Amino acid sequence: MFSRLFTRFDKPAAWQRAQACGRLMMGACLMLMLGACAAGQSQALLQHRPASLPVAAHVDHVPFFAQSEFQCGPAAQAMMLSWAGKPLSPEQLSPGLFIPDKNGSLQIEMLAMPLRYGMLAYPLAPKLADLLGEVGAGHPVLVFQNLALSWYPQWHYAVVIGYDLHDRTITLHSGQEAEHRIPLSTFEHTWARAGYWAMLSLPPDTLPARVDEARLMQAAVSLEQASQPQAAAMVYQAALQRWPLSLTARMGRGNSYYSLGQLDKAGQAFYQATIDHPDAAAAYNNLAQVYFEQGRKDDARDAIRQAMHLDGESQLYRNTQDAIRNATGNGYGVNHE
Amino acid sequence: MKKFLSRICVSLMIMSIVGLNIHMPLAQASMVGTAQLMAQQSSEQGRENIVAFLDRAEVQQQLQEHGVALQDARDRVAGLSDAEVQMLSGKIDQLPAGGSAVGVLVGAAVFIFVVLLITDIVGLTDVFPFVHPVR
Repeated sequence: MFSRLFTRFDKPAAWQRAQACGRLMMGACLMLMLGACAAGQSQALLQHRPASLPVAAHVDHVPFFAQSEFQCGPAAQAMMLSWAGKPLSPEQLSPGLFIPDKNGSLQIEMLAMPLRYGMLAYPLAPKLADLLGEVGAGHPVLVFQNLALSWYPQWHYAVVIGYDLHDRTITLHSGQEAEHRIPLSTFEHTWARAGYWAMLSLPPDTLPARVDEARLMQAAVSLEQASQPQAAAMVYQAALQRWPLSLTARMGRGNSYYSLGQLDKAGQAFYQATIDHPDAAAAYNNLAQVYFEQGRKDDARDAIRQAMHLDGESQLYRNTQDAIRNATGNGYGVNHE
Repeated sequence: MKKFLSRICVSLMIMSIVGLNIHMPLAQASMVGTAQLMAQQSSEQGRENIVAFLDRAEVQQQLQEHGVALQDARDRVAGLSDAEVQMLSGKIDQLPAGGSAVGVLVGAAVFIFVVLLITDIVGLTDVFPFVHPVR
């Protein structure tokens, strides 16, 4: 066949040029295809498995929803939330996730969705060890992948439900296929091309296995801001068991109970914050506001005075002080000095 | 042009709302919110709120322009934090949207089909369910 091809060229020089050109093209194609594609994290994990990571794990009872066209986002999130205790279908989630003209769903909206149902949405660090660690702890992980190539992307959401380091495989509920088992290295390629993005959707009393305090606090604040104080209070409670001296968690717990109108519990949290953190002016301010609403005027005055003493610049504390002063009808502080 | 005009309209409406001093619900009057505490009570709080407000209108409009129903777009923007809204504002066109698989490849050239077939076999991609990578 090659000889026949060869005879078509009158001049060997032209053939050589064509050959060189072809080789160059092939090389360029391969470079494009393989560019930046070493599955480094899985290789490192297979060579040195952290002692805390089980060799294999599988999360049972993760419901599977086969995706309809372009609906992998709603399908994947429905699996996550149904597992977490909110039985929801992809069709129910689609109006809040799908963007018709883009034929898909955005990562930011995927992160916001669990909040609507009072569930914790926790973005994972871009580490394969963390991802597998969560699966090992029994938590399914929602991942973002580019199934095709960087220059020809095919963006996709799927749910990791298991892995086996001995077989070097990972198992996903993906697209039309439940329990889709692929080599770990292949998964890493597709995951790397989508920026190593992964998230958890957890019940609010369950902490991620490899939890970072700042990340968790941000997730809890998001719940508060999404008008889910009950769920936020549960996250803060779980966080306080882990980090008893976290000022953010203590204050967040107080603020959540305040939003719920449970002044006693809010007051307890703020009071504890002033004990643990005697220099936290914000804790005294919020405590003063709660005392004030409880009708404990003297306690309110003492607390706001302490807040002002720690930070005399704050307009907010001054507002609290004014409110207390006006309501009591007295010149504030006069009867104490 | 139509887009430009509607944008001006939205901006004018927002300005009038801001001008009328109708506040979006912020944190409770004299409580330090948890988010505020985390941001160390930035002095730019007020300005950030207005920027976030403008971004919200922008993102809602963009979602509608991409085919999301009015009420859904409203609910979706309401469910996002200020930081998330800021990340989306003006960028919905560029951001990747996970939709995947079925139908996407229909229009692809034979060349891309062959390339993806090979990369699937080698284990670099995971496009075709019928291909199992060699290991």
